[in-house]
Amino acid sequence: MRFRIRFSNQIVGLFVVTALVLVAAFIVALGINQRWFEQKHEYYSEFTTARGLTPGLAVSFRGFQIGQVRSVALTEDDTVRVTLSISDRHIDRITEHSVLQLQTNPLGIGGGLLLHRGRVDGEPLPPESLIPAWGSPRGVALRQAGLVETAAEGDIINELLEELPVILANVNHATTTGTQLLEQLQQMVAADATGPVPDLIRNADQMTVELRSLLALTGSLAENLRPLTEELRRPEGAVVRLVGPELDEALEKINRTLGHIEELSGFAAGSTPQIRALLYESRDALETGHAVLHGIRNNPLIRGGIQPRETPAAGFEGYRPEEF
Amino acid sequence: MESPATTRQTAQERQALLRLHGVTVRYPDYCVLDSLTLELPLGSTTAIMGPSGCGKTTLLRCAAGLLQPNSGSVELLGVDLARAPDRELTQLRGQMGFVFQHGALWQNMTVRENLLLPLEVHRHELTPAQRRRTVERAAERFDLTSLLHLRPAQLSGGGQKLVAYLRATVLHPRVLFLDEPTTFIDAQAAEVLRADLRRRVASGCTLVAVTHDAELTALMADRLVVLDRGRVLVNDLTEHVIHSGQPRVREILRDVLGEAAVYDQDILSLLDAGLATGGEPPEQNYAGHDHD
Amino acid sequence: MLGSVTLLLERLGARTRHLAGSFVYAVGFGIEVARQLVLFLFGKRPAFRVLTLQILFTGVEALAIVAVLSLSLGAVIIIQGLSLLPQFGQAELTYTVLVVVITRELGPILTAFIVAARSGTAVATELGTMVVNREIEAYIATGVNPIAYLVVPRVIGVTVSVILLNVYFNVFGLAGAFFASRPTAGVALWEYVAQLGAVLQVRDLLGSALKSAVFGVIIALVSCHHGLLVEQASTEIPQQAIRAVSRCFVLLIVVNAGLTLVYYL
Repeated sequence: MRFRIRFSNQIVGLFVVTALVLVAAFIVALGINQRWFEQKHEYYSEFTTARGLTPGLAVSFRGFQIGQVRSVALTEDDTVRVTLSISDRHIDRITEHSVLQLQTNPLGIGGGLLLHRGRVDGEPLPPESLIPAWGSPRGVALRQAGLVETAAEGDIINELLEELPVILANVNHATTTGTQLLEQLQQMVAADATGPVPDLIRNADQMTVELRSLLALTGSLAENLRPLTEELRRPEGAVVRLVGPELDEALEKINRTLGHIEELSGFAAGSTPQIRALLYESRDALETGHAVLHGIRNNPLIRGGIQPRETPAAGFEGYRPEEF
Repeated sequence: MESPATTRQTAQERQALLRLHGVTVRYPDYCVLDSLTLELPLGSTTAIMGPSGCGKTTLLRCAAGLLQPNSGSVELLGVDLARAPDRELTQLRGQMGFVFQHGALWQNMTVRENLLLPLEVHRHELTPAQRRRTVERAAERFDLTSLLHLRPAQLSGGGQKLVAYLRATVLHPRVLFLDEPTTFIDAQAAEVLRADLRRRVASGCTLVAVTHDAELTALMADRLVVLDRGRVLVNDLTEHVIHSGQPRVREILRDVLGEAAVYDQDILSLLDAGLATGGEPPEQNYAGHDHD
Repeated sequence: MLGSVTLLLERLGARTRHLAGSFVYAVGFGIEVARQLVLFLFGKRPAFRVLTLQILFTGVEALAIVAVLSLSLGAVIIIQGLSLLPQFGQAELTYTVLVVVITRELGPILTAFIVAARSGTAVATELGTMVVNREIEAYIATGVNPIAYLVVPRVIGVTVSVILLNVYFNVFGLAGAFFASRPTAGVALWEYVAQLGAVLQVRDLLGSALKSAVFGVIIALVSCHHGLLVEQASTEIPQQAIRAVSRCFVLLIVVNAGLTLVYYL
């Protein structure tokens, strides 16, 4: 005690100085890690929405942070202009045809912008240039032209979210076409009693052609869906863990339905109500799928996040309608 | 904030050391000082007496500006204590000393630091070395040099009281308030203290003391104030008070100073006795814990 | 009936008057401390030694307990984080959680709790004892302003101590997390520092320091105020010390919530 009192000034001085040194060390470590003193280059990109985009958001390439979002602003022509700063060390990664993909985590954390480098080995893109967004027309065109390295590096939820709407839109489109087709078929069958025979044959021919193309489409669609569904079903998969049985069930339903379509290809011209029932079923499954995705987007951790869907009053009730 | 002009009084008014007007100090369940009015002249030596709990210490604290009364005004050396600006109050503190009944030494400091602080506050013109020398000289007079490095808690009650007295007088104040200065100390130490007080009175220091000590009263009191139940019973020259016909005054004096003081001899004879016994201070060691 | 209503009203009135009086006194106390603080900072500092001793008692002597607490807390947080977050595929968030929990939240509030419990009681008890022993009056009689000499150095000392202890809490907490993560995650020191450095913002450090400063002022003011509320009896001292600490805790929690809210607005 005496020692402490006598040397209080020295002890307190040491206490204060050590703390200050530690703070200084902290700040230096921060400065080094966050590369405060490194030269940075600015680029910009254009998005349709600022959702998920905040200043400070990391820009990463193959899992390494190479820069960050400086600012997000709404321009006069209603696009969202995002200014990025890329550190000097990584400037050569920004090549021509590079595309930026927004990775939003449904948990609302840990998102970021992924850089997909252009395939051309060329000069780095000069600063102040545009790096197109993944979903923008230019981005899509670059990807379709095969000019972008599209290494999958986002997390599973993101990839699914990216791909699922496209697939579902295709399925929806296919089923709509199928329905139209089958309505035509029904009309033709109805016309059977009165219409001339050559017409019927011609129509039946046309119908078969159209139906065949439809089935080819849905078949390939089903193939696309299968790995996706497998991925989703994997017990350790994050999506299953988060969303639970709903998504699994819905996708199972899609798959089963499309399987039915395939099976039915043999006697497509046979019974119209069966095809109609099938199509109703598939559309139902697709809508459930949409609802689940909506739920994921809204709040993946709450199971009640999917809104109840109103069943249309004039829905299909069974394979055998009343007239049978 | 009052301007210095209004708080500084004329030379004539300054003749009053202390002026209390309508001072009331009230606690929730009882009244200590009840609209008390008192005036003491500068240069006087006053003893305040009264039965226990009559408000002597409270009066002294109000007079020194240590306690703000619930109502009434206090003027010390012409300064209105409630209204004076900080700077003027600080200057005033440099001219007064206060010896508390129990010493009230700062326990977290050594004796030396206790004695140095008044000098540090009021004697900016002195160097730290000069201040230390002043403290050591003062301690020598009371033979306290060997105790300077100790903490108050390591001193006996009498030792603490002497240090407290030393702390109050280290600035050589014009006014000295003493609250029972000779209690808790032994006869020899009391002697030393009385001798020093006598010296101070002789050099013109004004004393205001609450005391039960007949010898001390006899020694210094040219004025006696007798309090009873929070009011001034009498405030007059000692000889007038001693010869007062008021039965209550005589009763109180008898109770306070003891039988001998009032019955046959009067207090003036005690004054002679006090002067006769005041000699050189005896050697004494005040360290230790003889608090009893 | 009427009598009891009148009595109730009378008590209510007396209580309200008392509360209002206490509040006005506390505000006046705060203003006087602020005034003397300015004089202390820009003027003479006779109480510099009191300040040094206050930092010694409040800061240096609390260092051991702060170190033990933060080392173990950091370890616990990283172990929980490393076991829980990868289940969501968010292992990289561990560092963010460390920074949020240790730097932004627990650092300031826990050091403040420790200081309030240790030094808040000490300050209230010490000042209360000084009042009872008439030491405060001795200061006044000597011409020393007790607020300037006793309260201001304590406010500065406690505040500085809380800020510095928070720095140590951060250092030890993050070190504890590093040592705990080594056996499981096996992260190299530089990698650990780099990961933390990427997550930690200067804003976090400043926010943490600001919180500590506010907490320090609260602890010191409340403790000094309650210490000086002692009037005569030594039995009042423990009562006021307890009141000081409980009031400190309530104020710290409420103010912490407010500051966190402001940080995220």
